Amino acid sequence: MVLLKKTTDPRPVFLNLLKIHLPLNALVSILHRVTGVIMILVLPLLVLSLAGVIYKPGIYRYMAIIPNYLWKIAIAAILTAYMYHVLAGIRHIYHDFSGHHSLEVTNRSSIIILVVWTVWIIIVGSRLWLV
Amino acid sequence: MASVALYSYKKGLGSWVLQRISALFLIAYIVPLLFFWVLHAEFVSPMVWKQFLLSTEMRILGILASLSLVIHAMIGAWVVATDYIHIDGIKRVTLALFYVITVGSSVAIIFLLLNAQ
Repeated sequence: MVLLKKTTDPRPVFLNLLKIHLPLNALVSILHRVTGVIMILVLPLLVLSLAGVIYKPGIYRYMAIIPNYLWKIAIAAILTAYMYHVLAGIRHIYHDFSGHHSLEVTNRSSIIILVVWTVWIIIVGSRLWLV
Repeated sequence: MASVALYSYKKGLGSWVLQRISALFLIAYIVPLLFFWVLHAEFVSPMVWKQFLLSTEMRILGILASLSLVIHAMIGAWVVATDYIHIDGIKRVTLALFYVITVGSSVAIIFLLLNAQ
């Protein structure tokens, strides 16, 4: 803010996040962070379900308090977030070690992981709702 | 900023390497787990899950993954929080919350995997 007051540039600082057009690479990168944060926040739920499975398999009966479709949506969200994070992570490692940093190559890898992720979403969806 | 840093900028390369090695251990645990679930043709009952998760291989992979989780998630949380939160107090509280969730969950998973029969 101090910098803003000192500058003579009269143009306004425009930071409406909804109006900033993110290039595909930036979107893929930010989603990697978002999915990472989400997974830390759901960790306690995963620990609870592990404890339930190990010590009280009968606990599954009480899960009916929450409707089935909500469980399925939650599971689908966690599994798709996880797989996105893995795919985007592999993409980062690829660009770290291959030395390919051109816009063309990174755009292509973005599209590849989005396609693979879509396939995974279809697999999770059919496993949850069709089996 | 350095006062909040678990891994300060001077250790940047170290945390960069740790982040990637720990990622491999996390993949090594969760990918077999996902394949087990996807390839099961029907509903996987709690007993079947228990048998699978408490097999020796999955216990070992699970403990390694839990240790990796602490490293991976703490570095990740630090990187994200220090990029976006610029108010020191809020940054400290947010990071502390994320560290507590991560370490607590990891300790709980290791305890469960070591003690369950």
